[in-house]
Amino acid sequence: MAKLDDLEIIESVRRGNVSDYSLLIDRYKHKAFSMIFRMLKNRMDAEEVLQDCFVKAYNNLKSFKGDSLFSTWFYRIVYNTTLSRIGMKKRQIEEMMLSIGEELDFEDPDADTSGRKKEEKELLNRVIEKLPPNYAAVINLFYLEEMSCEEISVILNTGVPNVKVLLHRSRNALKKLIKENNLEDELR
Amino acid sequence: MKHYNDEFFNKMIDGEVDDSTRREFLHHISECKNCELEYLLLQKAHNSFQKIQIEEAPPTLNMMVLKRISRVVKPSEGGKKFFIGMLIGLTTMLLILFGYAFEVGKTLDPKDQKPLIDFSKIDLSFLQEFLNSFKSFSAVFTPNLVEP
Ligand SMILES: [Zn+2]
Repeated sequence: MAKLDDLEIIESVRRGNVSDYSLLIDRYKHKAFSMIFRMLKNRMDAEEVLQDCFVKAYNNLKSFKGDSLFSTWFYRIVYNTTLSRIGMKKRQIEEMMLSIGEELDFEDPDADTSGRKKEEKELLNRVIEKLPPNYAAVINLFYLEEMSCEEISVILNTGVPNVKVLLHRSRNALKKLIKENNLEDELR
Repeated sequence: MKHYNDEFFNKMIDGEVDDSTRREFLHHISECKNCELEYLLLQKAHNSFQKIQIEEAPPTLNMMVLKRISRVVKPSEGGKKFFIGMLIGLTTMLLILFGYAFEVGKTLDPKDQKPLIDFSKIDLSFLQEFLNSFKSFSAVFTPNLVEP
């Protein structure tokens, strides 16, 4: 059988083939879970929120008109549901996106003292573990879902320049850690 | 000498720099080791993010979601049917009641008003008999309690 696209699956579910919804779940579950987990920093909570997102999407499938991609529509649910779990109200979210604060700085407390060079992967994990929720969302959507800044701005309900700021600051923070750990030797 | 910053390096990585600016920059880093290093570091951070790993969703997810969905679907449909049924039943009952009241109202001429049940014509002696038999029955089975 040819691989169905998202819209074909949705049509089938709407016709009453509820079990076909599993195909849609399979398509998005791992990447959506990665995003939720990195926003919440807690696996158990992330598992619950992931379930809620798929149930919410199913219940609102009627309102999905197909004028945007399903992925954009679905990730809006994922982003907003996760922020609600954190306890953020709509007003706080808007404020967070309007004033996205300062540069990120994840100082490495033992960068010079331990004498041990940290691996690139370790530094990446350190940054990802500490990224605030909106930064974590951008990094996951940009690097895992390979979305454009325009698509991400729709999901986060903010402007493209804001998305770029979050993306660039995350890169800059990792760059700083790499530099502190003298990994630049490998670049030469 | 004009040096470059992270903002520019990010634009380079995102491919948002026009050709002539790009050529100028590449020429610059061939001579400026500091800008070259900073650019390569940011490039390394970008490459590192590209290796970001997928976190696996729990294997029970599909089952749990489908279970919750079917739980949501059935009661709401059942609830709808129950509601409509109740509505039809109530309306029918109300129609019958109003209809009856209307018919009764039409014939309620003070002259031919009769009670619906004439209790004076009913023989209630069987009730008395029943009570008597019950008394004697309880006297036989509980003599000590009734007449010590
Ligand atoms: Zn320079």
